[in-house]
Amino acid sequence: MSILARKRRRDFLRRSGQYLAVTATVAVGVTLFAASFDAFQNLSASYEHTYDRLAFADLTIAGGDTDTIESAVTADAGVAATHTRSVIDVPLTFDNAQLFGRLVGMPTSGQPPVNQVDVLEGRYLEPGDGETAAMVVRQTAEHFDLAPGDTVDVSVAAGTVRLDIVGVVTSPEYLWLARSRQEIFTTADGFSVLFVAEELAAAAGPTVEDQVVARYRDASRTEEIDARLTAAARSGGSSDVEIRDDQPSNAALREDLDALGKMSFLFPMLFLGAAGMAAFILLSRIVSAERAQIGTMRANGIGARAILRHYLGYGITVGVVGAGLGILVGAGIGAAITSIYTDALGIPDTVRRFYVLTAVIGLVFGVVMGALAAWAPARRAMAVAPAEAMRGEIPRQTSSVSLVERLVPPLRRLPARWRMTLRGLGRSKRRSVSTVLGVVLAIVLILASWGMVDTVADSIDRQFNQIQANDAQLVPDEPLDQDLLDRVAAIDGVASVEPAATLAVTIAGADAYATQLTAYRPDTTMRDFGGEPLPNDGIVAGAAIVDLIGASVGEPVRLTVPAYDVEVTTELAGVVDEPFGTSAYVSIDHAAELLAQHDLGIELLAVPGVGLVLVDYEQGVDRDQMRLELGAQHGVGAFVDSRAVFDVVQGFLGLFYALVGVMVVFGGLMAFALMFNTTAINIAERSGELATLRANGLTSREAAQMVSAENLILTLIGIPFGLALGTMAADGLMSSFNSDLFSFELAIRPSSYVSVTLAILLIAGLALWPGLRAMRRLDIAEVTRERS
Amino acid sequence: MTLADPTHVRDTAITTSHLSKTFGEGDTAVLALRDVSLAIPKGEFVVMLGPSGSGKTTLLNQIGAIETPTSGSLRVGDLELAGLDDAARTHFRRHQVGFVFQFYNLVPTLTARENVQLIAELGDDHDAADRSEQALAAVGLADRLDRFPGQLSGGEQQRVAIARALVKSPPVLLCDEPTGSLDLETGRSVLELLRSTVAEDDRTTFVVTHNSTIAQMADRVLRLRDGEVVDEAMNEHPLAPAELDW
Repeated sequence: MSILARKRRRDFLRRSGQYLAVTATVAVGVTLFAASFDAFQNLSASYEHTYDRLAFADLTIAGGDTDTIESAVTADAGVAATHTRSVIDVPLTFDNAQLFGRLVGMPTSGQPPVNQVDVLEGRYLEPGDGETAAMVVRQTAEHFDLAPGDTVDVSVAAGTVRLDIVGVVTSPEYLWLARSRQEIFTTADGFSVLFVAEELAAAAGPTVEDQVVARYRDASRTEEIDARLTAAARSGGSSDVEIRDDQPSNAALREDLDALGKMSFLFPMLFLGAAGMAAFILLSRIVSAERAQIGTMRANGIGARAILRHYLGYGITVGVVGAGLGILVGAGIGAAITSIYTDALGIPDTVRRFYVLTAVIGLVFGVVMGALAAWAPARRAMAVAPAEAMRGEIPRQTSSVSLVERLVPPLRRLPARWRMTLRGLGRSKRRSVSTVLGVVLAIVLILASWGMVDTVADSIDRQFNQIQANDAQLVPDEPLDQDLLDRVAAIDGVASVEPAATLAVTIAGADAYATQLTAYRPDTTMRDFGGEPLPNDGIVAGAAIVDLIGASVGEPVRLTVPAYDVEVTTELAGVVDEPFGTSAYVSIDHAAELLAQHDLGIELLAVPGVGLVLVDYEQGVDRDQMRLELGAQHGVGAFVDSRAVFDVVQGFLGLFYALVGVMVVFGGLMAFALMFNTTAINIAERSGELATLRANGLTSREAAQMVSAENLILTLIGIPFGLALGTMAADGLMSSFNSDLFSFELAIRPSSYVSVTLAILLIAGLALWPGLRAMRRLDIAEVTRERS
Repeated sequence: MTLADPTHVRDTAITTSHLSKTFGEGDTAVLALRDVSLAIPKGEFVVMLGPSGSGKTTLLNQIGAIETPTSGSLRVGDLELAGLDDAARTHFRRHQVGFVFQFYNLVPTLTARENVQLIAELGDDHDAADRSEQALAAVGLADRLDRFPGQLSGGEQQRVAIARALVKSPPVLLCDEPTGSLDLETGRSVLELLRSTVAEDDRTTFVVTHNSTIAQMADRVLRLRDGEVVDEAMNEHPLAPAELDW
């Protein structure tokens, strides 16, 4: 080892606390990056592995002339496999629990070429099963503790059919159990999926949907093939074309994954920026303190470039060590996050790899940060004139009255120690700016994370407590009539009852979008449409739809209803802002008018699968009891508890909250490391004058108060900037997640600002502690002896 | 020249009795002071001479209660310093001692006036501003009150340091190489200043130096070597600082 390298090693040991703080900040930043990027890659790979293994469809086409469409799709050179099937939503009953379910038609001769299932328990359908067997999705089986041999009752057109459960399966279409893009969040006791013989699904009811599903040969040409097949589907009369990215389960999983992907670069950059600042300040101080040594080395023949390399080496060493630690720890955490995620969501395949790319990027981050931070101090070291340094002359500092004293002249009459504190802020501008920036970065990290939590909580509250006012939804298995409404209204605990209807539609302006159209009474109390009543001569749509179809309020839009094979034109009469899902709404009266254009009667809004009963409870009722009583009513095929969906949403966000919690802790650590370093350097730079003041009677407490006050003022300066930038960062982050699935409006609680402020002040106080302890232990004699 | 009798009782400011100070332990232990016994009367100008490592700064630091003795006794007036805790020693320094060091160690962000006021406020602060101005005037810097250290010469900075040490009127002034960074003329003027405070305020002043020429202006000269006082002499006719030449 060269002498200079040995010097560097011993310097690291001598100032181990400070170097450790900087290295730890680098390590945390790279850990965050490696963990989230690895988890992102692992989860993407896990999903893709499952999708490949189970031949997940790249495209799903519903409605239109199925035969024509299938021929066109099969003939396309980019398509590897095609399959047609029937899908229908019907009421199901598991062990007295009534819920809404989906029947998906499957061939009994073997797995289909597209959209296969993973049999977890029991077996796949067999020809000998006839139309009496079903495979149930894992989520339902877990919730109701079902196993092969149990039964399920299904309400079809011909009446109620009892099916034997022969298998418990996972499907790539329902890794996340979502009914539609408008109903991403469903409860396991509110929605289920059964895979049944194709013949059973095809004959289950009038609202059955014929689908063509396709898998492509070459994933790299997906967009091109999507466009071709979409055109073919439209030519065949279909208006409902769903690419894989839009498939509800995949879309929900991808949203989550995208969040991880975004955070894997954004937040680590904050850490590395803070670490860079801390390293820069530390190395600047070291070069200043070692001027005499540098001059001596130069005078004795060590070249300027060697000096440059020596001091660059400090930064690069910190960067490499920190990055190395971060890569190792991050890889472990990333693998753990992957496992936790796939376990929690029941993803059948878990891919965990060591990604060389992650390690390389992490190392590059560390080296670049270290080199950038060390560059200016190293250049200064290189430029030290040997003669100047050996004379021990320190460049004269020009001082002046502080800016705040110039702005507020009466401050010049403060006691001298307060003026010393105020002017200490400008004494080393680099260090002061670094402290303020460290506070700002920490607050941005903490508040951006905390703001996301507040916003999501607010969105959930708005969606489930303000917008959606009904407590339960009943799905009739017979045509909805007044008798059912009256019976439900008469039950103790029911405050109000309304009829509603929901249809799958495609809305088109310049572009088309497949969604749900729900009809309410014009004076409905079951949903809030921005404080306005439903219009009588048009529809109201979610804000995201309006953007997607390129329409404006007052313009005509086309509605295609595949179930009745009709298209009508109406006006886009209004826009609503809803956090979850993007649907359209219409009054029952106007819906009847639209149907009448095609000689269709209002009774179509009451058929099973379309008609709904919305129920609002009285305060304080036993929800489980209400479920039993309402579900037991004749004519009720399924029961959906709106409150249970709220709980599912909270569960979905559990991992998100955990990740945010980690960000908050790491943000605090970053602030601590930065402030610890700047305090230590502050004290080291002034050891001579502090020792002299102590020799002349200043107590260690008084000296500590001066240094603490400086840090506190810098922290207070950083706080408003941090809060403002943190708010902007939170807004930017939440906006980046907006899609037709989610629409978030930033809503940070005032108490969160207070909490973040108090947290930073606490961290600032804790970060001062080691430095102040060192100051209390200042050896006055040794310091003054050294100076002499 | 005679050695002062350590048991002789007069109007003494500082008395040490078998004072020793050891740094480190075991094989690395260094005996910086060995069995030093002194009796220094009030109002004397004492110069401590000796080569590097002789223990002169250590002895100065003992008297100033910056360091604690390993053994022996050290009294300043009626106060026994050995055994005092940190708070008591700080209190002692605040009211009884003024320090002047070779490298001034002024606070660069405070003006001359404010550097002195910082110490003046430690005691009675209601007239700290006035006392600071008077202290600076006494050292010939009445027209430099609002200059920052970076705007002052080395000699002027040392004068500010002296004013800072004297603003609280300490009975004892301790100076460690006060002219070490100054040229001859400036050094003489600083020594002149120090000498005058002894005369005007009956202040016991200790000056540590390598420079044996400075010893000619002292009332008493202590020579140290290897932690011991090897010689103690009185100058019957101390020279004025202006007469010194080094």
